[in-house]
Amino acid sequence: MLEIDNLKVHFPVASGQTVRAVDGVTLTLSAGETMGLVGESGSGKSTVGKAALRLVPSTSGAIRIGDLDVTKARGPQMRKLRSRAQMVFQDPHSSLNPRMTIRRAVAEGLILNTSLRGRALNEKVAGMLESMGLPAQFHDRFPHELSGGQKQRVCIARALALDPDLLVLDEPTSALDVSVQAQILRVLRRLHEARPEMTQLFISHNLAVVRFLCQTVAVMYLGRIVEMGSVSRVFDAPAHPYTRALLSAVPVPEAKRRPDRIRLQGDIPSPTALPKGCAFHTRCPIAKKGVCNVEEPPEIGLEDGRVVRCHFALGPAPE
Amino acid sequence: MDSLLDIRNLSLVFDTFDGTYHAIDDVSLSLKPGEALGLVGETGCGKSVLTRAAFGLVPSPPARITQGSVKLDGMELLGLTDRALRQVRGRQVAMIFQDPMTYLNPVFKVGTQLVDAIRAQHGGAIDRKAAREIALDMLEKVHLPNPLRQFNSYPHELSGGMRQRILIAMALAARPKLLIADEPTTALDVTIQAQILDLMAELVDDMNLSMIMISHDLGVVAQVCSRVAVMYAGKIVEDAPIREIFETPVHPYTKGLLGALPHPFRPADDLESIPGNLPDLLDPPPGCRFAGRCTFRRPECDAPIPLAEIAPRHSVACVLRPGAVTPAVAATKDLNHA
Amino acid sequence: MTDSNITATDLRTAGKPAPKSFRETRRMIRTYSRSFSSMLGLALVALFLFVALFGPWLAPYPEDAYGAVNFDIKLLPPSPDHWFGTDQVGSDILSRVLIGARTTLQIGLTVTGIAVLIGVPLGLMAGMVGGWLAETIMRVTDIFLSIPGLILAIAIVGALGPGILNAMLALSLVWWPGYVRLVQAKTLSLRNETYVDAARALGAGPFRILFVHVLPNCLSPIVVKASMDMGMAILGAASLGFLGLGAQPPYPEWGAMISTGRAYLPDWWWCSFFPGMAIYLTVLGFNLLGDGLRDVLDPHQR
Repeated sequence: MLEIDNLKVHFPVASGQTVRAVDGVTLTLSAGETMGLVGESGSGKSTVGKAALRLVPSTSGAIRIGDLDVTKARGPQMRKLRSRAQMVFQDPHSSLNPRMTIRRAVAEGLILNTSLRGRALNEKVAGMLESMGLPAQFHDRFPHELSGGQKQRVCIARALALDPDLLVLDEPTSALDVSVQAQILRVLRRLHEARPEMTQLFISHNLAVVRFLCQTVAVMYLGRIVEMGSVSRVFDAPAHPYTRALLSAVPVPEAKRRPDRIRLQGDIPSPTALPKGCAFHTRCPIAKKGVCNVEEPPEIGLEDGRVVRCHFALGPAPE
Repeated sequence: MDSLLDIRNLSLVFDTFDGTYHAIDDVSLSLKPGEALGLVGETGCGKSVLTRAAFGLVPSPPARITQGSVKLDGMELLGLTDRALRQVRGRQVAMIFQDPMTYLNPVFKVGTQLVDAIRAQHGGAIDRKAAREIALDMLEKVHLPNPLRQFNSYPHELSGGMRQRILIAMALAARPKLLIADEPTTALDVTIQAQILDLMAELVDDMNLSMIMISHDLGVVAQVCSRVAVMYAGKIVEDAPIREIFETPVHPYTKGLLGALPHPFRPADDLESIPGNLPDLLDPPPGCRFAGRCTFRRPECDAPIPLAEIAPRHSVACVLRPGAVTPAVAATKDLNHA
Repeated sequence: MTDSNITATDLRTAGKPAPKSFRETRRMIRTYSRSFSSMLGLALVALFLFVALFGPWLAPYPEDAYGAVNFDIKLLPPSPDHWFGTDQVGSDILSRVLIGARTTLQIGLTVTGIAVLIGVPLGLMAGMVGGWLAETIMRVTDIFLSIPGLILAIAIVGALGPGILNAMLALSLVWWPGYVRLVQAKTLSLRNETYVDAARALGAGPFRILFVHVLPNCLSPIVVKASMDMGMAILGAASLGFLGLGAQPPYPEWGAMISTGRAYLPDWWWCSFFPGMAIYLTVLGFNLLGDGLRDVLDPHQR
């Protein structure tokens, strides 16, 4: 359904340097799959999502949604892309035009992409909003009259109105309170049950949320995928040292402190000056001099279908 | 009288155009020396306002403290002059906040700011050299890599995690009795958050620091604190050791919060979402403020329910708590404990 | 897929009376009316508009505004018959000030209007399009902004010849660059709003983004600036009139009246004083109104 092949997105910055936001990402999502794309700031996870909808131009590589070539789409194909792939953004407070009622916000995509007008349009919009738990009293309100959770439900309704095959969700709950986050997560869960054929790419830094929603997960670090596979395998037996560290850094809502914690030293390097070799070697607890700082690790396929980019993914770290 | 901080029946309102907003209502909270307390709640529950109000950091007007007392080491803070409160804040209570950049001046080197802050904490009684010694010592304590080099950096040259370490060093240089940490890791990445939380847990253990950590995330609080107070709509609804909060929560709101949290290592079939919204604090309900969203609501919920102990160190404000037959009985119990 | 839980909740909150948008308007009006200076500004502007509309009917001697000569009563001090006194040709100054208000309003509206019509589209273009076009627009704007507006206007009128129309034209030509800067800056920040990204994801083209998502959100600062510029344009026109480059006597324009009356200072002070007060109060009114509107519409712009 979604195929990304060796995608690179580089931005020039003022000082003449280049930010390598995405630096060679390859991933495939089959129809109906829900994949979590996780990573910390600067990992490039949001850029991958935006490139898939062509909201940022890609430097090289290919993106295909079904039979549609995203990077080369023009004119009518672009319109097709809009109704095939939709996005929900992180901050519901800024993703709605403050001068548009929510009815108009949801109608916008339909007006632009379908021939629905008048009564039929109104009914469709009302139906979408109601399916997201927003009854008729709300439809003529402006965004500032809604709570964060309600706004995010409007955004989801707006994206779903076009009946997309691919839904990209860019941190849709990270600006929300815990109990509101739970509401949105339940809505998304039900969405998956109601439309099992829809593919979802769920971008998040919150691993617990990914575990709740997704079947597969890809972990990104500095513009590359370092580990990808089924959620249960990656979470229960992480193969890449970064995945292990990331998982052990998650604050778990439990009274016991886990003893097997791995703490990374230092900060994430700047994406303008990527470390040589494996980008993670500067913080890696098992990095080996002469290997990791020299050679880029190859993609290694594990028996359970996982893909890992680490020199030592198959064997234990050398002493 | 062994508590370090003792907030008693504190109420605070904001006078707004639309009326009186009851932000904090009759809150009592005490902290023993060396204790790390997590103050947890969602947006608008009053957790930040409570701690700021206690140390005179909420501008008045529009805020107005209508009743209560705040004692730090036996000294009443409410009613102190601004000057006296500033002294308390500089030397006895230190605070760190969510966004460290806001509290560092971008045009001065980090070292200069540290030295100035430390000299101010000592009332100017020490020279720059001595202050510099203390500063470097503190940077060592917060495990800032390469302290000498960072000393001569400007704030924008440092990462978010390093800035937060510097602010922690600055806050602790005065050897305060109490540290207030208001969402100190919310703006940080997961792996950096873990570093800072480790540091805070270490400081609590090694320096015998007393701390109130404000957070919306029970998971974050669990990494550092031994006790948790859960706030909802301006009231504390449950106050208990961390283990009991996770294992035997009593208040339906605490249970709801826990049920709403997805767990990274335990796949869940469903989450609990708490229906409804915060009550209108311009016109709060007379009884339990959570009653409107509570699935266990009963008629008694419409009368005020005080926080009362159900087990040693475990207090709850709910009619469902064991032994709470009527609010009147609960109130007398509460008095006996006070 | 309906979540019964959510629906029940939202129905409960939806049942609440007093929609928030109404509250918002009420709050705005309340904020505005709590400020004395804002209310004073509003009162002055309201008075000015009233006089501009009904001046000819309010004036006791309307014919005096258009050059009636009555040397028997020239240079009379303020009296019950002539509240503001009479000028060197015996015209009633009150009548001339009242009728001159309409001219002043015309000048203010024309100058500000043309400046908005030129400046806003250029600013939107510079903010949205980028590249060499934006560079060109912004550099030309900078050149205009680097020369004091009034001096440039004097030069333009000097070239075109004095007269009220030429004065308005000259002022309009020097007034637009401020709008370009304002709108370009606002557009640049709005362009990065998530809702603009969301609109692009829905397939909105550049024009739709411009007119539906960007322009409406620029309106508050434009309104605020325009209301302040009304006052400044009036002052500019009066300055040109005073220098003899704008309206020509006996045309009832306040700046020209001051200029003529200047020759009779200080003994016949009323000839200049009353038109001067009219300018002062009008400009003050528009400035206070603009300040008040800014506090209500654009609280972050302070």
